[in-house]
Amino acid sequence: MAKVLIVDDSATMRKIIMRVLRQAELKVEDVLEAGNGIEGLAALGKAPDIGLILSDVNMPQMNGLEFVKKVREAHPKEKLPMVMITTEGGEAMVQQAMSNGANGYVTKPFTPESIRTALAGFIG
Amino acid sequence: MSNSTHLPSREELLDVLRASVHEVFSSTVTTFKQAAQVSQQGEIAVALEDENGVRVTASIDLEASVSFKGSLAGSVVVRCSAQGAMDIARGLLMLDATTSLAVPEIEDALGECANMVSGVLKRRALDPRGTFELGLPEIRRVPKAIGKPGGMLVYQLSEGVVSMELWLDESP
Repeated sequence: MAKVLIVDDSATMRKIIMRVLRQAELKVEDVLEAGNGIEGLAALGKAPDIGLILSDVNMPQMNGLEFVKKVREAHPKEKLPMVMITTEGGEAMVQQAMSNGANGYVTKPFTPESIRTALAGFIG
Repeated sequence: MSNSTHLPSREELLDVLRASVHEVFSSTVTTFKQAAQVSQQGEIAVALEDENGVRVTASIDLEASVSFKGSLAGSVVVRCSAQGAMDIARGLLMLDATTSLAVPEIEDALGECANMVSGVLKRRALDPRGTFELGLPEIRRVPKAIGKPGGMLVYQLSEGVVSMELWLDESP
């Protein structure tokens, strides 16, 4: 069972992701929310037992690409998986996210099936 | 669409916008149908014909836009009647027709809808042509012209109406 942090500036999208996580029947123990990268780092500081981060890319104040880079300064890829959930699934963005330390990505709009497939390796 | 450096034409962009709306609505808004469009882009109400050819008019009460910038610049704008915005919010949040939502929830959902449609448009039509950046969603209760009209698609949702519009900057 994993504690999951969802980072997205849209409350609507955070609710959708939470619902889809339930529908996908993944082993999620608890879900924490943050509205941008800065809030995401604060949440991670308060809850170091977070086991998976799902992050948007295009966000105010600190975007997802910067956020993943910051997280990787303290948390190696193998210990804390990060999956980007974004409308921007272009090749350049994906390469940038992966080189900054993301473990995977899902493009919006998504289905419970695509979420299950993308996250199955990180939470069963 | 082929991988080339030439910029997409207005018609190509509108075709991709149609496909993008379809991709987003198919997985979120359960009942939608593209309607025959009668009014002009930029008007404060949209007119459309229903399946019996009867012209109906819906006011535009809320709009969300997301800009794109690169060798071509413009905005994707989602303009809705109040009921259309509610339809989109309920669809995205998977709520039934009896659930009421607060205005900030509806506005946020409309912004996310604009974000997803513009993201799909960027992925399909713009990314193969160069480097483009998307802005963050902006919400307005008073519709605003953003550059020059690039085309509009009008949809009848469960109970409301939505106009998906493309605006292009005057000078790219």
